[in-house]
Amino acid sequence: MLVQIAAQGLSVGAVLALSALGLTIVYGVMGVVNLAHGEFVMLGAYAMTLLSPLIGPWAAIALAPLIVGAIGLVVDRALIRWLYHDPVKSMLGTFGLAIVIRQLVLIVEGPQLRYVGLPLTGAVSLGFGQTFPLWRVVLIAAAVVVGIGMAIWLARSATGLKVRTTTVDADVAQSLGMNVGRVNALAFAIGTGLAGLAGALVAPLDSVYPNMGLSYLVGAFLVVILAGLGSIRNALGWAAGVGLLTAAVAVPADDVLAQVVVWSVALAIVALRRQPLVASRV
Amino acid sequence: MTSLQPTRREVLKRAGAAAVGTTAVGSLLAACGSTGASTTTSATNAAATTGASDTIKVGVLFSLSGDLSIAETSMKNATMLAIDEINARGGIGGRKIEPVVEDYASDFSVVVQKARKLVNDDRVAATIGCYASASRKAVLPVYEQGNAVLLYPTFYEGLECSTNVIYTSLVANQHLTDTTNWMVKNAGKKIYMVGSDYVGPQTYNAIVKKLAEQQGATVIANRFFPLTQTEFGSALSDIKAAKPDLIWNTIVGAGIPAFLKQYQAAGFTPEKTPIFSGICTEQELAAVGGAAAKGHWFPASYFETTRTPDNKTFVQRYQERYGSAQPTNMPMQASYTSAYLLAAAIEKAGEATPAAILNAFPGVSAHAPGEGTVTVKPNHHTTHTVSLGRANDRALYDVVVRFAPRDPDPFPPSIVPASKIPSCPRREAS
Repeated sequence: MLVQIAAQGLSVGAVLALSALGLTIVYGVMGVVNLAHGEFVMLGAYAMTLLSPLIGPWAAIALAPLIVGAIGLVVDRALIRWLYHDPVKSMLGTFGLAIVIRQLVLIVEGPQLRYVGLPLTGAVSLGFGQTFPLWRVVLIAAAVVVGIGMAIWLARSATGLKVRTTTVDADVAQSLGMNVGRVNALAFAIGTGLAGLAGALVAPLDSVYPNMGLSYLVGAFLVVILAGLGSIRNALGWAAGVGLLTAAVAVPADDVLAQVVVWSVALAIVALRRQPLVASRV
Repeated sequence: MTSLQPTRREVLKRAGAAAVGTTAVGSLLAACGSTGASTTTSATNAAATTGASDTIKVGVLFSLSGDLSIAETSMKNATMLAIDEINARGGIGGRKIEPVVEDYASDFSVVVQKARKLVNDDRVAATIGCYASASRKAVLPVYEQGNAVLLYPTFYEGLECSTNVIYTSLVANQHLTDTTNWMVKNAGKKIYMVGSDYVGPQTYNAIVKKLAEQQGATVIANRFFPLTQTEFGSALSDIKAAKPDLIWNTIVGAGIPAFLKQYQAAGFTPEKTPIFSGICTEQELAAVGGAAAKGHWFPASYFETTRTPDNKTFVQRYQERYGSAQPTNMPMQASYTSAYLLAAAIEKAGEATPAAILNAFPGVSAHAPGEGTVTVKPNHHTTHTVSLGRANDRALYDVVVRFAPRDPDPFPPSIVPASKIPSCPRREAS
């Protein structure tokens, strides 16, 4: 039972982490609270749905973040750049963006649920005669690899340094000769690209339809509020924590009760902590 | 970067405000959508007021937009197909049916406005419509106060018998009794139950639990999920540990494909742990995909694969008109049959007033494609013949066993104490 809870908890946490990473980077770098984040997850799931019959599931998973990130880049230049560093404006703007994306997908692809097959159907042994779905293991591995990869890239690479500098002080970064506009556009493309990757990875286990994004936004928001907007390491930790708590209640008892417990605990933590929302950035 | 770092409280407060905004905008949009729909679809009003005696106005009330539109658009289509067929053969006693189509946009407050319009403004002879129980419950007062007629064309949980509603599809006792007996006898006595957390699945599971226990089975768990949940890993872990003989499932909507795919991913097989679903027609199953759908059980009074000449004609006519993208299913067949039941009731009544139609309904029969003759009983529900289907690799159900016809009982003694069983029909809304 404990092994199952741990495995299931990490798998729920992995999905939360994958969807929270992009949200937290976008806020960290440009102060934009992206309420259309769930719609970019949905676009990733549709990319997976449409591409995997043509080019196979693995190529589709590789391509989905690039396609969604490219859409993100266009959206950033057309809309998001007018909303930098204004949380309220960015919420309103991205809320409207979410409606537009959802309706466009509805018009083009229709309201019906879409089917994506499982790329891997096997199971792994957890010991004690217990098994766990292989695809959920892939999700956990992907979250760990992407999370650590992002952290290393930000800490070590030249572009990562520019992103971090812009995060701390955009004006100083610009005065040092950095192209802040380009850094911001890149950060939004990466944030939405990560959402696209999350969508492609969850599509084989989830139901793909135009309104599927909201639950991912809610989950990502929960993690980001607990972790503090803008912190990758905290986001990974809190995603695992939320996932494990969910599974600890949901496996032996009930999913409705699990949601009540998770949100009550989250509210209590936020209420008692009395810290500023924003942790040390990125 | 801004010098004013927002505090956690500040942002939470704002996020809350944004959420309130969401709801308000949502309902505004729904309202706009619905106004548009009523202007486009009731262009017939003018004609109706001048020549009311020449046609019989029938309301067709479904969601043609929003979350419920996948199911309900096809029900509207099936209703319209039947109405056109009736008109093509000369109408009812020489009078053509004039459909008044309304879209309630998956919104249970809009459905009330639309029902009021149909009953009070259009003065329709009857309405065919509604799908989710919430929509039927919402319009009950409108139909009861206006003494109007609603034909409700989908299977449902029962516990209701309004004087003003004719329930033309299955009620739970018809849908579940023979199925549960067969399931316990052939698939095993250790049952794990799952379902979406609202009245339909709750009632369905309660009935199956009672019936199964009467057959000597044990229900080892009865789990419900929030309606929008698509993550079932926790439940499946528990099911794996519990090792039931079978799973009884009443998860609905977007949860169905996710549940079946995660069940497959977790290494369950229909041979070892079969799933019997109460609420999963061909339409929901289409999104699961053949590989994950195969071997899955569902009881219904109609399956697309039924190879009778009348069903071939029905499927062919439907697909000629609306395309073959979606399979035909039980609510569509019941919607289609509802129009024929209504025509028969008006013919029997000799006039198209709601009171006369209601009086005439008990005893009225019609032919249901792929099923046979169905008859409206004095309790306003309809006789039906249920079959148990098993999904093939095209995500359609093949009939495995056909049960004997069964009379409807909206208040089955298995879950309703004898003292609480009302006389039917009765006024439900006071």
